[in-house]
Amino acid sequence: MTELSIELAQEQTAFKPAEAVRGKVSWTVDPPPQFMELRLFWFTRGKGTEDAGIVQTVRFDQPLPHETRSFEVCLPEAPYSFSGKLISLVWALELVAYPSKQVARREIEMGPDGKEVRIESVQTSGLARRWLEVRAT
Amino acid sequence: MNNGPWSSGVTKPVGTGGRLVLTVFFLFFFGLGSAFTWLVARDALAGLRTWGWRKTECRIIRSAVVETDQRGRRSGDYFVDVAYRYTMDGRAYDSGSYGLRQTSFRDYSKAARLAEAYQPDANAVCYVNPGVPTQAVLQRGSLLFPFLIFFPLIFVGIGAIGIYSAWRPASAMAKATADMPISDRAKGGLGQGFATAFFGLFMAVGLLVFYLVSVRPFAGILSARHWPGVPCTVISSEVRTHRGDKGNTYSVNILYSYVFDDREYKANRYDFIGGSSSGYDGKQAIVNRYWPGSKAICYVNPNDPTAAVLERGFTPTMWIGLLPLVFVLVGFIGLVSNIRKRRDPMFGQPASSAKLFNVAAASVVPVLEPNSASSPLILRARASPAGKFIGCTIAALFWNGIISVFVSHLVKHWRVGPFELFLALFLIPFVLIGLGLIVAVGYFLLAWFNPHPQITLNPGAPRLGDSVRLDWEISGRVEALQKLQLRLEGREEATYTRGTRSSTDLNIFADLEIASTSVAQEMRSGSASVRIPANLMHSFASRHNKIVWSVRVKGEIARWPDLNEEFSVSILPAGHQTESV
Repeated sequence: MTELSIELAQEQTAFKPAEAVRGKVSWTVDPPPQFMELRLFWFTRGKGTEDAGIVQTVRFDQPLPHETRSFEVCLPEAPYSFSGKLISLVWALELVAYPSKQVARREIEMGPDGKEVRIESVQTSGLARRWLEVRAT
Repeated sequence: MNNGPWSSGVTKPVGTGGRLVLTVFFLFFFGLGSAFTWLVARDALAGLRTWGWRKTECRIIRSAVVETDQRGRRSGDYFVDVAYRYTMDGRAYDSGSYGLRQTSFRDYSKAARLAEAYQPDANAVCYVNPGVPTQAVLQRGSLLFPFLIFFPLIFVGIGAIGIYSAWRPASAMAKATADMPISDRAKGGLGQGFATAFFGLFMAVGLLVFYLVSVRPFAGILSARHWPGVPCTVISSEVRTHRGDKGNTYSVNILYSYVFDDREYKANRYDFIGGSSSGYDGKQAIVNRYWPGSKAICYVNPNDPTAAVLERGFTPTMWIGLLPLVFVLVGFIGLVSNIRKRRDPMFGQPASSAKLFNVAAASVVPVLEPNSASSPLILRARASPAGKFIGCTIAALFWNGIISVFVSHLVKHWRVGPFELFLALFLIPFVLIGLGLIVAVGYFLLAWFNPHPQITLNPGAPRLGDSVRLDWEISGRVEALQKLQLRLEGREEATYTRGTRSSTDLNIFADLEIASTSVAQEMRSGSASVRIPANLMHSFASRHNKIVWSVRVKGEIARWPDLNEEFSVSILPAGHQTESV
């Protein structure tokens, strides 16, 4: 039987840029894994082919078949979590068992207000004209 | 969190019609590849078996170059007619096989060289099939030949994978994707490796062909400058026709004899490029100069008198040898672009003074050096008018160059025979695209002479929520402009694969007017400010997904292509920091 889990401190799933993400990872893997790896990464969803980028990895060496360990990783300044009409960017943590590559995933949000940016449509009128001061030179 | 209305599959599924089209397309690859694999495998196996045959001494009875094959057929090629006698288990046998298959030569010298190696009455080594002693060869099968099987196997693999992918259930695809770590995708997929291999192969084949049709003949010309000229007599001369799928090609075949070191030799090499090409008249003109019985000077290689040539200088057809460089160029551009994509995760983003910060594979957000974050920045156009014109011209030349071959074939055949209606109908859409490209070349040529805007942004890389000042200066024919508009545009760009086609969808989420004027003086130069909404997304560029910000300059010009240029802008995340994280 294999069970992998990621628990976040205070069940916090929304973060600001550069904030630390703390929590605990647990696993029950039989036979025992060679090592476990926690990855902090972003990935895209939506109409485009999905992209991903790993920002930080934490390796847990000499794991026991059943174990719980704590972790702390630090989010970067960007890119923000966002959700648009075509693309969404999602931050997540993944716990991966080696060599079987069994995985547990936990999605989080990261943005300036501690949540993802929702891309709304902004048209020219009003906003742009307010800042328009054309002058001949 | 909005996951959008799309599945999380990497490739979007196609309908049954699309699957059938894909299946037919890939079946063609699979079928053709399988047929060639079988042919290569059959010959390779037979060749390998000869390595188990018994090595035996034999005596050469006869060895000469002939113009007919073993069945007495004449194809214009030359053959080596060899006969030898050997003894097996106390019994004498005769054989006339040089190898398992009879080899033909377009170049007489090559056949002569082989015949020279087996002089009559000389002893040689032959290989006898122990199971069938009547079967023997002088030359065993090539050990390199079996490796050729990988070439058709590539086509078999492409066909099989293509058909499997077309019919693979979406659920199986989704399950396979769901079961693996999403973060593994950060390590780069097979696609990039495949693209690198494809363009690498393209370049390698181009280089190989360039070597064969250009470098090698050029080296031959250089070497032949020191070959002595000797009188020769033309034995026969003709224009040879080589039938092919895409029409006939022609070559010059002039057989001549000459005496070198008191011995008579024959050769049929006219120049160093050899091969065959389209164009009959030029070859016929050469043949007319060397009629049978005529005398000429040929140049003989003193180190190998079987090698001689009639024309040892450059010939106009040698320019054809430069054509493979197009393949080399395409392969090189593809390779470099692919390597740049690997190295630079901000590929596709504008060139600016923005430096990228590197958060492992997450380096997808631009940032300026601290001292230049607030400095003004002259923006660079995403595509210059000259670039558009040159790019379109190359595309038009390439496309129309290929199409013209088929059109000229159609016209030539129409002159001497019936009109090929189906070929004409088939060509119509391709010709229309070619004409469209010619029109586009004209359009971009005119647009090249449009007024040229220069845009300065201050600060050079604004943050979300910043107010940014934009100065513009238009040079050139400003008086031709009827109206000028400057807009700040933010858009999503999502690139995806559907079947074998790659598409990019755009969604403009921000369209902010910066300036709009029809006063000539204001159009020539001016400045305006705009605040970038704080609640939107900063610039972002991963491999297939981008948030692109740009300043678009539009100018209306009567009876002329409008001014429409785009200048990329790097919008940074809201004020946290400017240095690498």
